[in-house]
Amino acid sequence: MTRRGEYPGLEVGQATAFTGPAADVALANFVGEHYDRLLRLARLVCDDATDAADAVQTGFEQAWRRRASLRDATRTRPWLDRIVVREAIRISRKRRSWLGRLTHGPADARWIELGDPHAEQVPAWTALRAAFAGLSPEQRAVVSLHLHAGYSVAETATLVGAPIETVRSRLRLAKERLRRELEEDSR
Amino acid sequence: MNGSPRDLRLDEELRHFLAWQSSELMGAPSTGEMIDRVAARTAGRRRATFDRRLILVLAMLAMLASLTATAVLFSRPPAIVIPPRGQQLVFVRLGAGDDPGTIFTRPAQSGVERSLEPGTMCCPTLAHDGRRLMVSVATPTGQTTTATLDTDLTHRQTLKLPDGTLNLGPGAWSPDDQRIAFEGWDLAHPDRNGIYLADASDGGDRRLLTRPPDGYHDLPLSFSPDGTALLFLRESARDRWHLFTVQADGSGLRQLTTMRSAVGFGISPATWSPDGRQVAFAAFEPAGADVGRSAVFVIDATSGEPRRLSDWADYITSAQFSPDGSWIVYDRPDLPQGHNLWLVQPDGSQAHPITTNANGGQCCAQWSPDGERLIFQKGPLGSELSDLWVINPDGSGLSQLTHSPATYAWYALGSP
Repeated sequence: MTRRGEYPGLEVGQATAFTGPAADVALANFVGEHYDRLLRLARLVCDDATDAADAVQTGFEQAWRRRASLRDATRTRPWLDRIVVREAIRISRKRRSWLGRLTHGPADARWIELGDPHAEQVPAWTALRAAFAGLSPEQRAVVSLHLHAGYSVAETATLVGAPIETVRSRLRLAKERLRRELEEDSR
Repeated sequence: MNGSPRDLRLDEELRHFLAWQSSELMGAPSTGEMIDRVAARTAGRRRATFDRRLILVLAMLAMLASLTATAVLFSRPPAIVIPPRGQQLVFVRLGAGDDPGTIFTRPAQSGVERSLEPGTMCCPTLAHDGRRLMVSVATPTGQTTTATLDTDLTHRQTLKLPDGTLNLGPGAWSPDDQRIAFEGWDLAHPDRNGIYLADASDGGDRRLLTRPPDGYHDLPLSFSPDGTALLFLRESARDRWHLFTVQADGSGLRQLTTMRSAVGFGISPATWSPDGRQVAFAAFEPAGADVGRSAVFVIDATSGEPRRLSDWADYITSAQFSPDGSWIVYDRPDLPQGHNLWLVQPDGSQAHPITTNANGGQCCAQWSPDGERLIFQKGPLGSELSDLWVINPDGSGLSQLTHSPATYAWYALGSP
C-alpha cells in the first residue's frame, strides 16, 4: 500500500480520473493530508479515540465516494469536517443509547500522560474533561467546531446543519454548564 | 458568540483544554492503518460477518410495534385543555445538562405550564396577531423546517420542504401574518442559502430574496410595518453582524449599519419604528480590548444615518421600539452593579430607569403587543439564572411570572 508523500504530484481532485494504483495513491494522499486533524476533531465530539477513528474512517469512505460532488476544492476542509463531525455525532448518540451500551460496551479508559507539557494544568482540566464529557454530542460538536476548529457561529451552523439560533443556544448552554461545573469543582 | 470578559476567559481556557483533549488518541490507528482501512472499504471489500446487531434491531422493532398497538388500543382520551383568559405567556426555558430548550405556554398571570416535547422545536417567533408562533422542527430526513402553531401549542402545521436538501427555518412574519420570510440554507448547494419568502399556510409562492456571500446564512428579523421591506442580519466578518434591508420583491438590498461594532444578538436584535422610518438596535464590540462596549442606536432606514441614544456602557443587549413608537426600552448597567431597564424617547430625550437593581439585575425587555406591559428577565446578582417578570412602562405593577430560575432563551406575551 502506498503512503502519503510518495507521489507528491497527485492531488485529491485528480483521483477521479484514475483507477488502480493511481487511485490508491490519491486516496493515500487524501487520507494522509486530513487524518490527524479530523481524528482530533472527532475525538472531541466522540470523547473516545476508538469511536473517533470509526467516525473518521466512515467519513473518509463517504467523502471518497462523493468527492465528485465537491465543486470547489477550496471547500475541502469544511466539507470533510462536516461529514466527519456528523458521523461522530451519530456514533456518540448510538453510544449513549441503551441499545448502544448493549452492543458496544463502555468507552475506552482514559489516561493522563505524565509527560504531558500541560501536566501542571491537568488537575483543573480533569474537572473540565469530566464536564465536557457530560455535554451532549451536539453540544461538544459546536464547541469543538467554534472554539477548537475556529469556525464562526454561522459556519458552525452550516456544518452541523442547524439554524444559527440553535447553534448559539447549544454554545451558550454548553458554556454555562462547563462554567458551573468548574466553579463547583473549585469550591 | 462573544460575551463578558469572564466568557472570554472561559473561551480561552476551553481552547487550551480542547487542544489538549484532542491529543488523547490512545487506541486510534496510525495514518497507514487508516489508509489501509479506507482503501479496503472503498474498494468494495465488505465484511461478510453475521451481524447480531441486525437481529437485535429487528427484535426491538417487533417489540415496539406490539407496544404501539397496545398503546393505541388502551390509550386514554387527550387531556382537557382549559382555555386561558387574558394574555398568554410563551417562553423557551433551557434546563440543565443536555436540555436544548423547551417551549412552554401558560396563561400570563397564573396557571399550569404546558410544553412541547423537550428539544423537538426551537427558535419561536410570535405572529403580529399574537395568536400564532412559528418554530423550527427537525424532519425525519434530518432537515430543518418550520411549523406554525397557536400560542397554546395546538393546531400545529408543518411546512413541507420543497426537496431533500433545502432547509427552511423560522424567520419573520409579514404584517398580515400571511407570509413568512424563512432562514434558508442548503448544505449540498450553499449557493441556495438565503432568505426565502413564502406563504405561511403551505409554503407556496416561494421566492428567494437574498444570497449571502460565502455560503453564510442571512437571518430575517422583521418586515417594515407596511410590509414593503425586510430587516435582516448578515455576517460581514467573523461574528460581526450587520443590519441590512431588502425589498419584499428581492430588490434594493441595502446595508444599514457600517460601524465597526456588531449588532446585538438579543431576543429581538433590532426593531422598526411604527412608521417604518427608523430602526432601533444595540451595538457592541464583540472582541478585543473594548469587548462588551455597547450603546443604543437609532438609524434612519433610508439614509442609514445612525444616532446614539445612550452612553457607552457594558453589554447593553437590546433596544426595542414600543408599539406606538413613543419609547425605546433597553437595559444598561447602573451603580452599584447590575442592569436596569431604561426608557428613552426616539429623539434621545427623557431617558430614565423604570426598575431598581437593588435586588438583582434585569435585561432583555419585550413589549406586550398592546404596549401596556414589558416582560423581562430578572435574576440575583452573580447568578446566570433568572425568572420572567412584568412591569408597566411607568415602573408600576412589577410582578414575577415564573418561579423556576433558569435561562430563558425567548419569551413573549401573546394572545390566547
